[in-house]
Amino acid sequence: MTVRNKTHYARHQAACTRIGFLTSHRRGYTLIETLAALSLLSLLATSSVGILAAATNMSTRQAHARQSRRDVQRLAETFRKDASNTLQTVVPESDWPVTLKQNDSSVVYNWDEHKLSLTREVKGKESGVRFERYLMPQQSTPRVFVHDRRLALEIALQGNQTPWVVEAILKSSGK
Amino acid sequence: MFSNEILNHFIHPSQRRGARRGSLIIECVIAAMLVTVASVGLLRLGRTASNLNRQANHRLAATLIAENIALRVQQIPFDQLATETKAAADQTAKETNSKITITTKSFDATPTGSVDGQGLHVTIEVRTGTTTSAVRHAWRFPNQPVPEPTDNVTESTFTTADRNSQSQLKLQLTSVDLPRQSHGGSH
Repeated sequence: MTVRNKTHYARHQAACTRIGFLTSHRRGYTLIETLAALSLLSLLATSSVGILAAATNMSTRQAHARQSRRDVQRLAETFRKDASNTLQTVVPESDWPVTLKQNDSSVVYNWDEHKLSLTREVKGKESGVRFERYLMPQQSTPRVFVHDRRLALEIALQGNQTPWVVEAILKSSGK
Repeated sequence: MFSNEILNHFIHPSQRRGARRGSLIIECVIAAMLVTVASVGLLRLGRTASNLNRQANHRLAATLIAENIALRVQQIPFDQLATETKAAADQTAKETNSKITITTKSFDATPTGSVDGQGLHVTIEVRTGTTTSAVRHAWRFPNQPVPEPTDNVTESTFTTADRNSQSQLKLQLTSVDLPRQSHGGSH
């Protein structure tokens, strides 16, 4: 082995020693790095899941609100039509169910608190039984009032929002 | 001693201590920034959706109130319209905590051929909340009987002849947007 080769070998050995020193240090540090990365990842995952849950919840609430608005508009039309044929109205002290008696049938409106919906049941001798359901807004409390020939359905909304009131003219003011 | 350049030649770039440490921090910062941006976007979306929902609720409330008043207007005798309409509006405004503006405008109904004299065009504007409002129109003719509720209230207020008169009126009252079928219209 020449002098030049010996020098090169020595330099190579020294470099390898330094590399080994570095890699042995890196192993210990990798554990801390992994733990830190895992904790950060779990934190990010938790926050991401929270954000997704909030977005889903918001979407569900918006869909419910949209559906309830559509249903109340549909209900207003039906309610006015029913009232215009009503000869006798029965409103109990507990508010529900409200019965609108007509010539050959009776329409019963009832409040289903668990399903947050107002139901309409038509019982007729010829027409048989028909059942409809109208979704109401969340935390709402519908009530029915009768004054002279005027029948009013009030749906109170949460917060200080203006209540939805559907008025109808009864065919007869009989109670 | 060897210089850093020589050492880096023997160590793979991905195994360098400085590079790995830096990349972890940068990755975390980028991820946190992404999550923050997504959160801010969603918060804004939620706030906007909530505002729109509230506006839609106010709009529906205003629409229902306007329809209720239009229904009451149809029940008032023609000669009492001026006084009774205002009373109905005041009462409803008090009950629903909304602003109601009713304007009545007379028009010559004689050229229609089916009715004589001055008809009344009633405009009902209801404002709930801060910006949302609904407008309904009602037309009343002299000697028109107060309609009795029948199968369909909105359809029963005009006879076929009256509907024809509406289409003729449309040609004369260019400033008034008349409805297509019944007495109630909106914009």
